[in-house]
Amino acid sequence: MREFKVVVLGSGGVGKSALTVQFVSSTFIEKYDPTIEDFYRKEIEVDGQPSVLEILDTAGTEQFSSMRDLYIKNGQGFVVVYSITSQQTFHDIRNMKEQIVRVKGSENVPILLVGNKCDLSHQRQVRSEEGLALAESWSCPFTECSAKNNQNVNVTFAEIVREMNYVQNKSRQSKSCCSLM
Amino acid sequence: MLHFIDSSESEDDLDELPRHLPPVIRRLAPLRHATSQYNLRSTGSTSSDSSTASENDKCSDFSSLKSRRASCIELNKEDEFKVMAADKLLMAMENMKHATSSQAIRWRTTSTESLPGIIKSNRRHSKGPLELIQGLMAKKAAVGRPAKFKNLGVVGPPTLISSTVSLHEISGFTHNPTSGHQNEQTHQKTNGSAVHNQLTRNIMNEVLTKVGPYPQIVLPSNGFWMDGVNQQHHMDDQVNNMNVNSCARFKLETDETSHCYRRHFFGREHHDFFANDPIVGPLVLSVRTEVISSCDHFRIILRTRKGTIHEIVSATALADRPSASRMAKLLCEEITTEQFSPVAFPGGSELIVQYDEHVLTNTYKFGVIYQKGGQTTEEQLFGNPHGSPAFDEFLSMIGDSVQLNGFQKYRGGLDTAHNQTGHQSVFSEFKNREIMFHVSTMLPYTIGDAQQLQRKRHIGNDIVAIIFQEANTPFAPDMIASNFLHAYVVVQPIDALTDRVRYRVSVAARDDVPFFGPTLPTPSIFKRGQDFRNFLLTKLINAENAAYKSSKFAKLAERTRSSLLDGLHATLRERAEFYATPLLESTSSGGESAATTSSSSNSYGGGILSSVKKAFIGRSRSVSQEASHVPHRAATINVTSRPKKSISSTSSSTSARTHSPIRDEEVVKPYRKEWEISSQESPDNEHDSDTGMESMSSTEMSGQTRASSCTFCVDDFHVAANHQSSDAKRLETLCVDVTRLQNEKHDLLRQNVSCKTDIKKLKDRQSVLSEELERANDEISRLRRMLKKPSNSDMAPVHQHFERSYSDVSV
Repeated sequence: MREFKVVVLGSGGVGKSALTVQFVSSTFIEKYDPTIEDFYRKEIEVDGQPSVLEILDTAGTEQFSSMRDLYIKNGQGFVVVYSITSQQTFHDIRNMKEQIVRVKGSENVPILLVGNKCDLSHQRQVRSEEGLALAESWSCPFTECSAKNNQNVNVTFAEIVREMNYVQNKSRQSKSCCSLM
Repeated sequence: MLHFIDSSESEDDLDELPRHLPPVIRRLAPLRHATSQYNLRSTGSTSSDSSTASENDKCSDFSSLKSRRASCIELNKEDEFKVMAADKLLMAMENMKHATSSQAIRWRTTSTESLPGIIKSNRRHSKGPLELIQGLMAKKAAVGRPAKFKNLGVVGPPTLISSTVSLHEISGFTHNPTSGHQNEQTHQKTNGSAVHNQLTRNIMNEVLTKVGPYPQIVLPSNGFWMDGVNQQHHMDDQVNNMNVNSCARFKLETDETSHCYRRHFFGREHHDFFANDPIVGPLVLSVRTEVISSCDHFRIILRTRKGTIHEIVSATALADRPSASRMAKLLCEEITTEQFSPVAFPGGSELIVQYDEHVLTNTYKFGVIYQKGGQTTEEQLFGNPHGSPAFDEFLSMIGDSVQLNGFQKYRGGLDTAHNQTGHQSVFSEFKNREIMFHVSTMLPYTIGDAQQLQRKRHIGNDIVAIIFQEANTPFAPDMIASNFLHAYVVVQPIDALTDRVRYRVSVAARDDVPFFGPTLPTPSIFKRGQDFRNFLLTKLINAENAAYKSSKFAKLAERTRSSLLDGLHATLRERAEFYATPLLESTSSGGESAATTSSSSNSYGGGILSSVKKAFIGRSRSVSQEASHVPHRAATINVTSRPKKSISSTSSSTSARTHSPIRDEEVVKPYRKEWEISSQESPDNEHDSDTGMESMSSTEMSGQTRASSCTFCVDDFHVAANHQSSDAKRLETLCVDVTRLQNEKHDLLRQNVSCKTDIKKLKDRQSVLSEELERANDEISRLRRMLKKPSNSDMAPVHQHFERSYSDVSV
């Protein structure tokens, strides 16, 4: 069975832990308890193919830059989360793609952009079009979800698996082309 | 069960309610809590009796703070294991499928290796549960190392398991045996927080039903320690017993090891080595020779995955064999490798200093939370829409109010472009450090949000917070749910907004946070002003640095350090290989020198050996012995000759000219030493050989043509004949004189360098002594304050003992 190491990144309070816990155990954590670092493991079947996800839920504060570089270095796929109810959380992640590429040393990195808390439409501050535009500039998939209502949560993690498979296949094809030449 | 120190307690109450602690031994409180914590857990423990007895002894031993810290770590580990054991029972079959995944095992094995040694030793005590699990699992794959079991069993991380899981929550597992593990774990996390919060609230409400004054802090039954408890007695004295610390100097407790390389090695003459030990892992060693108190010493820094060690070792400790591996073993006995490679390429020092300083920070962010009288929940704390004039008075003391829009200094995660995190905040600069405060009432208030997420997402991610209590009211450190917040400084004004305004201060922190200074005076009441500001900011910074030593953050720091050291070692090795090839290709002698240096554990000896081989291949043994005998002199000679070689190797056009004087110098010095040695031995054959060499040297010095020299070398008869003549004798005498004068010149130069070095070391020593004097003065003032404290004669020994313990920790 294939294994993937997924890192969940984003500013504080956007719902990284709630999203991850909803995916792993189908429960919603109402109480906000800021995370230092949590690690989860769950099997998932995507397009008929079973996989194991090792999910690293990270701190939202920028206090440990060395540690964040370490997460990126050891991770394979990255779920970048902001909250649609907070413009600042959207601004905070603008440099995330650049940081991931710098540490990975490659442009071909599986990234998924996620706007959480889409159930709070009355408090929306970030339009879907803004999220989509950022995702297009990153050349990565985009989705909005609600950890509270379990809306698009499984789709989110399935999508990052597809993205990781896609990047790996793309890399393999590139090698084939090189060998042909 | 939560309890608190009641201001109305007496000795009679102490007998009836042992949970209430007398004031004179208030610092005993966290240790008692640790014991209570263990007792609660041991009820449900499946450990063996011997293990229980052993840990019980540790818990009952109050001899040192270190013991308490170790006990807490073990308790946490014990608790983790119980949950993991339950997990294994529930998920046994599912985990079997993961046994074949080597990648997963490797991934988690790496994580396991970073655990502190004490936890590893604790794992052996947990053999009982493992045996139970083995009994349940019939398949062969079930049998394996405890680490492997840990890997298989962990679906969620240890950090998901609350460090204060109570027996109540363990029972929760029993009641839901058929539930999925992950569901249970998540439920536990939420439920645990709710249960504790409810218990704390009940206790605080009970406290508030009584007549005041109330204690500043109410501790939950486990998980926290506190300092600075006030009683009614001091309330009566508050007006008359002001404590002004204008003479005291508050010390920031920083780790000096991270500064040592830049301070003592970087940009100065020193040697760096890297190695990979099969047991300890990658190593980076720095060595520098220093003369301290007129004696030779080695200043050594050794970097391992476990940490960095800095020591000054007397040269006599290494006798006449100061090899890199022996220096490393002095600092870490477990090292077995002898293969240390020198860092002999440009940029190595920059990489090393960058690694050493990765933990340093000059920026801090602290939460400031406003609490009104009677508030007992975090929703109430974060839900205060505004502060008060007394709060503003306090804020104006700790820092300056700044406009966030366009703010250019450290912003601590606040929005400085779009006003998304409020328009203003409080900022301070203190001892070259920038501090941004997250003030609860200055962050955005959201109507209808019970948790006030826009406020808690900043304060909840701080490690240290100030609780400003508008009125006399209790605060409990577990009111706020956060994995980050580890220490609280609770401040309560007295006579606010008057000329006589004062502040009562207490401190609370998690059990695994070590004590941090400056020490709170008794009573812990401060006048508003610069002195209190200095005290408070120092306390906050020391609190954050202390919190980084708690188990959660220490684990992360160790893993980060290990990864960075692996990276540094790999980079140094790659660059060494990269720079080695061109040197070997450019000059054969250069390659020989490099080979000699890399194969030898003594870089000084390598240089000398290389020099000797060039001049006298047959006499290398004698010179080597002499070099070993006087290592310091050898080092000097080596350094002197090295730059000239570099010049020679880099310029072919100047090589002929510069090489000649170098050769002369080398020829002369070894020749003289050889002469001295042979004089002692008086062998006839060797004497004749030396005579021949003398003649050749004499010929060169006389300036005769090279062709003539060759003729003399080839024709032994002519050399001998020339030796007999009177002119030869006179030349010999002059040669000896010139040699002696040159030696005297070199000796004088060495003395000059040595004197300058001594002067520098004396100045350094003077500054070190000044620092020690300052610390001694601080200690004296602290002891003087201790002597003034009123103490119960019966409790005096225990009290003094704990004072010493805390003193040791802070020093």
